[in-house]
Amino acid sequence: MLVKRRIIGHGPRASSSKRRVLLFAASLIGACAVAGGLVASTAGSSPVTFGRIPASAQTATGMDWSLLPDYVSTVGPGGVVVGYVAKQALEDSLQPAHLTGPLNGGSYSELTVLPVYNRQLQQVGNMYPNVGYVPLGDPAPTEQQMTPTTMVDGGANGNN
Amino acid sequence: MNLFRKLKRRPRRIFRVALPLVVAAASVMILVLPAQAVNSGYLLQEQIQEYSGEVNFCGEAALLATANFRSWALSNTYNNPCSLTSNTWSSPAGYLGVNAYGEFNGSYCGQTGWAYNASSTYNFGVGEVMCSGKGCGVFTTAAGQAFWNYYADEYYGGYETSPSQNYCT
Repeated sequence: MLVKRRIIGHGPRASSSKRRVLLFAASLIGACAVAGGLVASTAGSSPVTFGRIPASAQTATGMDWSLLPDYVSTVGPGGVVVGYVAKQALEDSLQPAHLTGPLNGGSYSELTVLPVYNRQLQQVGNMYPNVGYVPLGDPAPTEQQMTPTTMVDGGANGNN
Repeated sequence: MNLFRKLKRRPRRIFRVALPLVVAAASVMILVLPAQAVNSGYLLQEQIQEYSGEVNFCGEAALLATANFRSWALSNTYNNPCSLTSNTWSSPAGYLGVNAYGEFNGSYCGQTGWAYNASSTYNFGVGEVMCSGKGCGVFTTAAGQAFWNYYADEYYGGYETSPSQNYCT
């Protein structure tokens, strides 16, 4: 009888109860991980956002930067999205406050080279002024290529 | 009986032939329509005390056909602060900076880079066809300006966006 019980103890019932214990442990660990993740996400930094510039962000007096995602989609040749530029970098590139001057004319295009990232925030290329997207590994454009061709003393006609 | 059938069929045939023609004509008209230039108009951005007195600095974001992004800076003294013709103030070299960036369907597609006036002027701009070859879509210019503040010894900024415009590039 005892032998029989032992035999029963190693049988299918015993293995199913072990499976239940393992499942319970696994689900407990999973629940803890999810709860921990939730606590971390609510207490710490919010998830990074990617996307386009919403039309509502364009106002008559300028851009409402608060409506933009953290990383703004960037298009390369053919209008295809090639990656994302950091909103902060884009905003900074349009702010002249970091420059000391007055500058003696000419172009300062190198100040607006923006790194382009994929969704894993790995750099995949750069956006160069007047040139656009250049993938990592490709040669960088020359200073001449980056210099705007149209710099105009507009006079009384400078309204378009 | 046959005549009645013919009459009944005719509208269908006309519809089959005419509809594609109407659609084709409409498509051609859309393509032929000239691409328009749009701008924000000059907007007062800064009033700065310069060595000669108070100066108004204005900026404008413009979008020219086709996908030519422009940023303009204008300096003017009192009254009618953004006038291109009256009370203009000649900014010394390096006092006016401009930069334009382009958007295509809500995505960033490039910028001109900063350019500064090399000689004294009251109106300075930069422009470039930057986002060509993207296909048909909605384009917008965001323009930045730099205005030198003589006493603060730093640039003050201006910023505008143009209305959006549909282009095919």
